Amino acid sequence: MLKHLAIIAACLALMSPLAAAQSEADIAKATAGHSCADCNLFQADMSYAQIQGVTFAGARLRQSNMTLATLDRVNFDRANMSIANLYGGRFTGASFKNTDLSRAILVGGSYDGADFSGANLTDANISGAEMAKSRGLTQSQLNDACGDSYTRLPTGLSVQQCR
Amino acid sequence: MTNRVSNTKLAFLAIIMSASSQSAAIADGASRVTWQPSYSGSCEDCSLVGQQMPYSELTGTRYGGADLSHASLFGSMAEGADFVGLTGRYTDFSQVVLNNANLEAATLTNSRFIGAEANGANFSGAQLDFSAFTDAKLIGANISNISATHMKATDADFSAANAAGAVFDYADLRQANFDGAQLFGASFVEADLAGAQFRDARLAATNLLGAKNVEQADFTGACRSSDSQLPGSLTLRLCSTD
Repeated sequence: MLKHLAIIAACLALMSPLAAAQSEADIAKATAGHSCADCNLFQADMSYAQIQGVTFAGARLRQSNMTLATLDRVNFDRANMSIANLYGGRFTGASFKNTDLSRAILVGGSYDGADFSGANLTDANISGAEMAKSRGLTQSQLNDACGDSYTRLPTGLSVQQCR
Repeated sequence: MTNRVSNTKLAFLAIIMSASSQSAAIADGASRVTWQPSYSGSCEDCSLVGQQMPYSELTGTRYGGADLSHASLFGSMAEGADFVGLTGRYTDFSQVVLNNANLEAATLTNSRFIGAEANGANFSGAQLDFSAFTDAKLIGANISNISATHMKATDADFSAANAAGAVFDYADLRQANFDGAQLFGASFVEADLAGAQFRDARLAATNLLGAKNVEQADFTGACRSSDSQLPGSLTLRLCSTD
């Protein structure tokens, strides 16, 4: 019995970082424009935010809302931004190195100088996105995403139409 | 403010109303708001790409054919301004007063008009794909034949607007107001209409097939024509021909 309880406790201890709820304090800190690396910002509402030059590297930004935000030169390296909504956002010079952008909405956003090296764009929607001056994009990444005729990509790269 | 405008055709006069301030609108204690700096004259066909011009006075100016892409006019006053054929990709017109301004055939894709006031303005034939008009007021505006795919216009007021031929496919129009609007031939494929109002709007030849949350929109008093494309759940009276 004691052994079973110990195993359950160990499992809960291992699961807790994953299952932990987002931190309201960290979300408030991030939306106020402060760096918050490795924070749990799950479903954070950062729509219309105007933040520059901070780091959210390694943060959990899954399902966050960055609609029409201006986040120039922000570091999102290794962040989990899956299913995030980045509609119409401006991310000039931002860094998305090894960022999980799977199923994210990048529709209509501006990504001049943004670095997508190693980013996961699986099922991401880049319709209307300005990415002609983005860095680190590869055809392999884009093969997993979709866009439309308004999407602007670096010379030689293309993306399939969203259905 | 430094204007690095090199176009030889430039006949552009910038009058700095206050040498000490480039910034915001200033209330003078009598609730009057001034906009600084002030511009007059014309800047037709010139390039102002990336220029930061917040809270400027642009009333009655002529920027026809100019390129204001990536520029910011945030909070400016531009009533009656001539922006015909303007290029303004990723331009920030948020909080700008554009009442009765002329933006006919302007290229304004991906631009922001958040909280802008453009009552009676002319956007006819403008390209507004991926633009943001959240909380904007376009009462009685001419938005006929605009291309507004993927537009985000939640809580925008298009009441009494002429939106004939406008394409709002994939637009986010939640809580938008189209009361009394002329929507002849307009298209709303995949547009989100949750909470939108179309009271007394004319939906002749309008395409609402595939629009989302139509059942959550208010069509009281709206009318259709025989060739309107409406979901089966929406029953409207025929428009009168007068």
